[in-house]
Amino acid sequence: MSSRGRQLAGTVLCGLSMAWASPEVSRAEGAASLEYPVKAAFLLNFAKFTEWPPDSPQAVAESVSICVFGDDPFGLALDKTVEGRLVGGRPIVLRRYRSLADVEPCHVLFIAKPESERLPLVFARLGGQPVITVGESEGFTRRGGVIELSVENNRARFEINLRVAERLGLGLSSRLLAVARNFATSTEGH
Amino acid sequence: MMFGERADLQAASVFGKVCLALGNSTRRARGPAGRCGLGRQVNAARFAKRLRGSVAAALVLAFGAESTWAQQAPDTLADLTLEELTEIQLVSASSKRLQNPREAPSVVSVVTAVEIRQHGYRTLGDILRTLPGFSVTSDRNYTYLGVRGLGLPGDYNTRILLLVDGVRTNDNVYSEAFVAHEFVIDPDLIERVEVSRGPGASVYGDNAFFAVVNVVTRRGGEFDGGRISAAGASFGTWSGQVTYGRKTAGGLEFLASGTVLDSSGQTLTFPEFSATNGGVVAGADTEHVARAFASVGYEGFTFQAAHNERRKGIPTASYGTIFGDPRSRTRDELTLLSARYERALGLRLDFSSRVSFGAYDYHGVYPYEVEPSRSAINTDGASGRWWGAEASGTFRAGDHTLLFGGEYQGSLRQRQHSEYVDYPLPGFVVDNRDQRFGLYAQDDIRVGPRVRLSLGARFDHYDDVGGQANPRLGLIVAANKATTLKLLYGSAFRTPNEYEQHYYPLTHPDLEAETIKTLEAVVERSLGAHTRVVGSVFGNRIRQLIVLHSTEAEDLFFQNHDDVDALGAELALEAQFRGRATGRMSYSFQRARTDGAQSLPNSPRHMLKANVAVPIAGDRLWAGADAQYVSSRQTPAGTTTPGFAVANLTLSARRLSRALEASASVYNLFDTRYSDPASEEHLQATILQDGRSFRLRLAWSF
Repeated sequence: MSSRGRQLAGTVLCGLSMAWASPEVSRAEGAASLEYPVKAAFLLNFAKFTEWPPDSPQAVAESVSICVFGDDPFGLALDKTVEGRLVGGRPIVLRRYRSLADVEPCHVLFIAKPESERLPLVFARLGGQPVITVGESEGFTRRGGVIELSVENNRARFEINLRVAERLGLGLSSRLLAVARNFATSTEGH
Repeated sequence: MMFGERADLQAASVFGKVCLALGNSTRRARGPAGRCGLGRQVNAARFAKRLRGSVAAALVLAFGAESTWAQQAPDTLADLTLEELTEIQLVSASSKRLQNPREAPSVVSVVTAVEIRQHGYRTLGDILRTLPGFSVTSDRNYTYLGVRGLGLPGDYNTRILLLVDGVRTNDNVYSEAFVAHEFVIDPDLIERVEVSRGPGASVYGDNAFFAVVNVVTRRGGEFDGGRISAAGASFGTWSGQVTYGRKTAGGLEFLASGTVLDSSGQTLTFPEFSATNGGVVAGADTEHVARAFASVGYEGFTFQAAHNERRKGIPTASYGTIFGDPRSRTRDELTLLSARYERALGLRLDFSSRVSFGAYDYHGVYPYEVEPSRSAINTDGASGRWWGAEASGTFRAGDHTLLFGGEYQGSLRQRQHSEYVDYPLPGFVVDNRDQRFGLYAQDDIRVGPRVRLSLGARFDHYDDVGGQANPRLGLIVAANKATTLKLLYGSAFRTPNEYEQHYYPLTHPDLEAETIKTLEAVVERSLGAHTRVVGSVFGNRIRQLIVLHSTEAEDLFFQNHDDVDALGAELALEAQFRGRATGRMSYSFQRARTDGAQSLPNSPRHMLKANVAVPIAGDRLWAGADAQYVSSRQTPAGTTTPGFAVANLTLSARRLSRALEASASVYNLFDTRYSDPASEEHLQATILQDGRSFRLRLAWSF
């Protein structure tokens, strides 16, 4: 088991020493949970520490768009997080999509859990555009997403599929990579 | 109370004489028939004597201890660095009983919904038996939990506090924690089970003696639609479940679920009854379960209702009932209602409050041969109603995280009764209304970058036993990046429950609480990012253990009696490759003594456990295997039941098609023949457990 596990796990980096691999803590436990406020702050950081390919629409857009597709788990947390913030001197706009047909190539696209069932359709819709797709369903990066958010030992973690990020031309800062739980690699994806 | 104390005693002694006339009948741990002593009570006296010179106790270890180092209280999360963000505890202590992190000074194991699915666990008992230090036994009527080597046969799981989303499920008559089909939450609705070993009284009060088990239920949003499942299993067992859950765009989250299970059980052979029908009993091992659960949440407000009714045939002729009589049965019903409100008051203070109501009803039917060729039914029952209220807060400032709260529980009914139907034997009814309250506080202090100190205490007041004060201290040191050392001390208590206090009229009214003090040293070491090893050594000092005794006239009563000292050690290895493979292994050793004498009944000295889950075809098909070895145990009758190992295997497939999942399980894969020690009310010294059995399950989501 362990050798197979290690092989699949890819290069293991961040060992946040105290953080042993604990089972996931369930989602928001009521109003006191900081899960989505923290995840919202992650989304902002993902935008902050990424360079888009120079010729891409994302690189030249006047604002940085952070989008949510599907049932929005953030509530007001995302709005509060980005309020009055700039990324690379650009203002942030939030967009929320209920239907796949509306989804646009944002800078960061958060895909809600129920919508993860249709990941291939979402990737097809994005058509290889340099979008940081972020999801929280188990196996999101293995199925071709760029960043998978998870909760371990009551703390937020994220995992990056470096291969997909490279293929999309996304330049992820070493500061992101240093904190990522590990680099998943995948041959699937968009 | 129907009888006064004195009248009750008289009634009991009359009853005792009548019992003599009944021949080989009746002590019923759960019924007043037990007021008379015969036959088996000689054993009870022996049992009590043996206890006096014997042992209990324990062992433990654990997985997930906490690492709540930096509890930040930032003004704006967006200003934090990524590193800091990953150190924030997402769910803070506000929901006092929901979270492990608050309980840093203890050793915690967590079993998740994923494991429950991958291993095909059918009951909470199936889950707990895979954890270090826990053993689970059955007498084909109820299922019993032994922890840290103390699992006295006939004891009703009173030394474990069992919570559902932080709400106490132990009833107010037997203070029993149900762990099999009597338990009120379906395993399919469990998000995770948090097991915190060691005394938890400094936060939780009564019953948190050896461990606190908190079952966290799943939420409607995770289902986002409906789910229908059906299963067929060996021994004529069928079950079905319907669940519907959603979270609306407006933030309203709800879940409703119903389960039924019907089992015709096995045809069993008990050599002890070979004089009757060759010892063969058919059609008496039946089980029927009806279970319902509903929860509604909106913002910080949560309402929950849970109900379980379970009827079980008794095939063992316990309590001297007529062997092979299919009328022998018990019915247990548990209902829990709770309303909870939680909110964050700024970033530094979290607040949580709750009111809850509980109802427990037990009804037993016991046929006796009262005269040659004439049988009469004894009905025995208990009915409890209670309500509780609780408020707690967590305040974070600088290096301190302060948890504080108060709790009240009042009984509305604590009735026990027993009577014969259509036969002139006296019965009795006792009832009571006790009240209790507790106040607690705990401070987790960062003393330095590597050292954390946890100081906690709780004061409880009980109508019957007065005040109880229990501290808990934890010193946690990060020796280096990979290694954490913990030194933990705590005490806990258990008050005599209503059954122990008032069921047997000879029990002295001044029965006191039993107490435990535990000292434990823990080393945790990470081996890479995915593997962890935990070693622990502990000592338990148990005083005034409440034990059933017998007078020379063989009348039963409870008394504070035994002192038990125990030492134990445990070693556990856990590996978790998220979404890939998981595994855990543990070995536990426990040795307990009373005055240097032999071991307690049903107290295995060694236990070895392993769990592995691996994907076979991507994320769609998984194999989950688990195995447990339990070393030999003594029975109350003085014999020894040999050690055994049992393995279980489950294949589970998700997304067979868009909406279909399936699982196939083999329990007791190698058809190991093993028996559990039986308590005093059985003629059998041991009860044979199930051999190899199968379960096939399909679920369809819509």
